[in-house]
Amino acid sequence: MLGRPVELVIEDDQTTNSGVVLAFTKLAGDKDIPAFIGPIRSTSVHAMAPDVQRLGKPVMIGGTDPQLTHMGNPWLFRFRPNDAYSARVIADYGVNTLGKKKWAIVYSTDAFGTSGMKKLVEDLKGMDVEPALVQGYTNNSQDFTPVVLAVKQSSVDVMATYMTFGADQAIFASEGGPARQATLAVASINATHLTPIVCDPEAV
Amino acid sequence: MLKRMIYHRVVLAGLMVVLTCLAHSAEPLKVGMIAPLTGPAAEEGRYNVQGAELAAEEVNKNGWRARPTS
Repeated sequence: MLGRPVELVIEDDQTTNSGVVLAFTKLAGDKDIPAFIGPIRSTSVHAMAPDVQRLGKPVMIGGTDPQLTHMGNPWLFRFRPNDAYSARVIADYGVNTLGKKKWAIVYSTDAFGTSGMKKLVEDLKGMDVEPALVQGYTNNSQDFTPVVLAVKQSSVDVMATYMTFGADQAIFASEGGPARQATLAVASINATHLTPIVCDPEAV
Repeated sequence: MLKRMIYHRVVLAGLMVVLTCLAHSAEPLKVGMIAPLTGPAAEEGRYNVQGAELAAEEVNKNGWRARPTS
């Protein structure tokens, strides 16, 4: 690039907000770095945003909270669709393509999940659909049985998820699988990872 | 004679500037990257890094190419 080879300088954020701030501070100290590839998690980007603004160098972000690029920080550049877009697609696909009217939304209570949930609720309401269940959970939950039971008891015909970590989604999927008592058989539309175990084959 | 000396010095200075630029251009262009390599998102972090490394490898091999979208 510009006649020079590209060299990545990678720092671990340890999946924590304090780790993100520390990693960015370390990289920002290298005057030879003109630009950065930032985190893909919204909560991480929120944590480092003030430091990014102070440094004044471009940071490409994957965080999908729409607010990230609307809070007056000119150095944050998003490289994937934000939650407003994904919520609109999920609502449109579930209501108009699958013809589902009774919805459950399962979301992580972090910045990503909360933002996505709010947008989806808003878009569904715009389509005259009031979700039957809006269920939050904390990241790194080891037991999703209560969430699965809540979805099951709500008798919904479609479920949308905004789950931050793949590991959480895997546990959630296994809790809803045929090996467990709380088996779910509901169409599942997910903002991030796939959950083939809980998907209704007809809806895939 | 004086004109020739000035000319040679200007050419020499220009050459030094070009050589300095060439030497500078060989230096790598650093791009900082923050990724979760440990903790709950380590799996996604690994994919992030692999993707970035793949892109850097491609750019270093083939150069930057603007391509039309279809």
